[in-house]
Amino acid sequence: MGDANWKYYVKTGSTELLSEKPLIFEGSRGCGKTMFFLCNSWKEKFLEAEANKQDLKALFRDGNILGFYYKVDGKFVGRNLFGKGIEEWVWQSIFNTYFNIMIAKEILAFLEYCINRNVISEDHIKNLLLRVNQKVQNKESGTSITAVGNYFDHILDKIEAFSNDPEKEKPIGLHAGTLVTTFIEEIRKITVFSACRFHIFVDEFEEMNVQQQKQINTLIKQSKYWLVYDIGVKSTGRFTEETISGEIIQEPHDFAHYYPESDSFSRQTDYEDLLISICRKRLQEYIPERLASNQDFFDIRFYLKFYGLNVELQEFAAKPKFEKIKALLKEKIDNENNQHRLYSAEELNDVYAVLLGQTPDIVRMHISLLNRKSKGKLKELYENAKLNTDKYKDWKHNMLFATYFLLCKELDVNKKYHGLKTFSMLSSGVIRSFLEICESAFDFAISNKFTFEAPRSLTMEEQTQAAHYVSQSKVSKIDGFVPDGVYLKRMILALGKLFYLKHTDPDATLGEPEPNHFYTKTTELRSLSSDAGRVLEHAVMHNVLQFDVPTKEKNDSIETTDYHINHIFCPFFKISHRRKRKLYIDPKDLKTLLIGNNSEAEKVIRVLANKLTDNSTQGTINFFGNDLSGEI
Amino acid sequence: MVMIYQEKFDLDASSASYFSSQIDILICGLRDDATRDERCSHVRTTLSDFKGTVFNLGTNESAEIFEYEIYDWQNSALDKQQGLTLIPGLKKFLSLQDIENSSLCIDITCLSQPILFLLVKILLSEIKPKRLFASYTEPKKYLKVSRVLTDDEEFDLYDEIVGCNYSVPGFAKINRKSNEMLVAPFGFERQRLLSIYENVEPKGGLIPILGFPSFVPGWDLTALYMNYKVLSDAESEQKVKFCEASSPFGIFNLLKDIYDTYAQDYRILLAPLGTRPHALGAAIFATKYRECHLIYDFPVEKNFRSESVLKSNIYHLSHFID
Repeated sequence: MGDANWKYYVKTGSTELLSEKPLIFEGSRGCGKTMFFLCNSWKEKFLEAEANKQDLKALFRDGNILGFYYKVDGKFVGRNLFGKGIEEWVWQSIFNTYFNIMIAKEILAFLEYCINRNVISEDHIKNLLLRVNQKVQNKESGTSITAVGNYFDHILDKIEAFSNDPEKEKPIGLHAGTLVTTFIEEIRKITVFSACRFHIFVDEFEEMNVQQQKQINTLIKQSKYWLVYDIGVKSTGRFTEETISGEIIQEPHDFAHYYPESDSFSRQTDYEDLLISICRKRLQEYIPERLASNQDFFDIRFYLKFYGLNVELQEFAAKPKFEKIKALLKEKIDNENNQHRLYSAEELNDVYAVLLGQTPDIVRMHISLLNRKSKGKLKELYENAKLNTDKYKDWKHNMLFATYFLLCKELDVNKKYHGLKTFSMLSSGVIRSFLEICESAFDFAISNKFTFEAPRSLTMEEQTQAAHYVSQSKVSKIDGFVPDGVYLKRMILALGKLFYLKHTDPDATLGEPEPNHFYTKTTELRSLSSDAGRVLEHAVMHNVLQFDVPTKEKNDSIETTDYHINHIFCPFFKISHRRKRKLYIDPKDLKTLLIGNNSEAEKVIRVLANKLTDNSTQGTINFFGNDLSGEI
Repeated sequence: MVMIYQEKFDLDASSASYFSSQIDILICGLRDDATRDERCSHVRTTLSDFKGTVFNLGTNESAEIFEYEIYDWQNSALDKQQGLTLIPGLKKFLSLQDIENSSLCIDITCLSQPILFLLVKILLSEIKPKRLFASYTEPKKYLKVSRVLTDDEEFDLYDEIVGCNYSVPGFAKINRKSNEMLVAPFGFERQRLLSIYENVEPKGGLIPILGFPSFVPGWDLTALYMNYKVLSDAESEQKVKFCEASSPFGIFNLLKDIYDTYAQDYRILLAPLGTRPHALGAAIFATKYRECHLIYDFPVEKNFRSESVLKSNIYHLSHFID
């Protein structure tokens, strides 16, 4: 992220999330948490106002918010302020001092900025600094901003030294948020700020330990209309809902909860609009002045052109092997007819014409429908196809896209990815992933002599290469996730393989097309193995999997959870990126996929896929990255 | 390549007797596989005339606890203690020994790296020995596994990574400058550098340090191959620096050059992911240059991760003592 984040920030409905009620913004890395909080913090707002030559005082009007951003320093808090032969309550008070001081330093920087721009004078904050000095027992330095700032640094030095060697002098202990409250109380007495609402943004909350999270939960519980604590946290990164007094913070009484990733699926159009707006801001930096009158050049849809499905169908149809697929369908028709004596030779010609004389996807769908066990299946298929009945339309609606994956496998064709909607779905609500695919697509285009001096739509091939490249790159990085990266990598490879085998099963009836997610009894999994439960949680935290409330319950009595693989992995696994069908994975099997050994995991995959032999060829992860080696 | 001054010696049959007489206390790693892994005991057995005391020091995977065993030169147990905390346990333990009047040698071969880091800090700046040596036994071969459902070839050197979002005991620092640069000696395990780089997202980029010349010809190329993706993502292919894999002195000098060039603009994050001699040099550097922030990912090392002994080195480090 660059220094001027506000330039790329897009205000959406989500800005309304900042209210008098604390916000818990929960989502994976790259979903926009940091951008949201940073761009609502005073620094970015001031930078934006100054760049646009706006009056700074306009930022303090009634109801406007002033945000102070703090990203949890996981290398310093968390486990560092813990143990070492020191009682827990001591660490808690030291953590509180640290947290107060870090926010207080940010507030001091804000006040200094305001003084330097004549929004307020130093006299305005004399009392404030006196009170602050009393709170931190500063009797040595004066009441200038510099002196107080230096004293804060002195306290931080002491905390640092104590954490490295508890035999050193113990730093002052404070209560949660006490110094911050003092600051804001005093700032609100300054007329220009009196109508503002102050927000403290705590980002990367998951880096705190349980006790530290309780301290912040307490501040969330105690938030008031003029001082609100909001947190950004990775999925499943809240380890406790308790405050220090043992109360529970609950939605909606104590906070509003926002999950951007689920939101991207439930409100897909809004998500796409957001992506278009984000890209517009970025494209403004590249489009030359002389082309600025053409609004198309600022619209990512112009570049991410959707070429339609016909292009892929034409490629399938042009493959010599497609004749074999047609021959297979003819054979199935003949077998069925010979067995049940349905049609005369003359009638059979019409059956061939109706069922065989179609595009490759429909031909392939007919094969799958004839794979079904039902009696009279040829008659049923022929009659519905002939009359193009609602039932036939339903079949097409549900099955045609699934046939692309069968055809890609059977005809040795790479699945094509193009168009905003496709890229939006691949990104699984992670804005960063979407931008990475776009960037990669432009890179491929630039190597094909694309230039913004003469913009053009990116070719289907350039877009497809980008999707495959980013997908492969993301898969290759999974084992870098800590602490369970190696397990997560194996699990996702196993799941990818399972879904791929299901997608490309030549005998598939497409009764359950495009299976790319699963549901399981999570509670049972946890009781079977806490390790497996932990790895599953980390899979969600690192956005390898995304959980969701179950759609259609297949396994009624007991509570289940749906888990989607992050769709950015789908091109690598050659499976569908749409949210369609799910498989049930028994907790015992899932446990094996999560923490079992390689051969056990292989066995489970084969059993779940009903495959005793393995002739699958998915991608080979290539550490050199850029070369797809024709494997994918 | 610039020639550097380094007090680095071969430890072999011809020098064993001399070094045996120079060392009063030998510090080794306390590991389950120590008695069965040839490399762990190689220095001790080579120092055949050693008449001092052996401290075996150990910790757990997240470097919170501390345990020790003390043996005399005839391998008779003198003392042992478990269940202490690494901080302040290690410092307290050392303060009870007669360190100031002793010549110490840290055998870093099988010593847990978080202990190595803290030990170096304490011995260079707080409880200072009369003379300080370190020793290291190079492996001939590392263990490998292949085919983890894909065709990836991986080295089988650790069970898991605890993560780099934990401070190194004794080197915790508050982040007060957002401009960070990552400097990382790296080894064979590609996940480690990848993980740290992704975690830190350093604005100042990554300066990778490759162990070259390596212990065994070709290992430098393997390390490059295994880490190429992250070097490419970080656009650091042209920034790779080289340093002899077995030289703590070389890495110290290299880090100083990097520090002098970049520390004004960036907070230097130093992640020693490469060889143990590089980790030793990094620990010395981070002790001397307090503004530099030592970070680590706490891999849980496998037992029997290497096969056979290539050679042993002894480093004389006394001039680094404050």
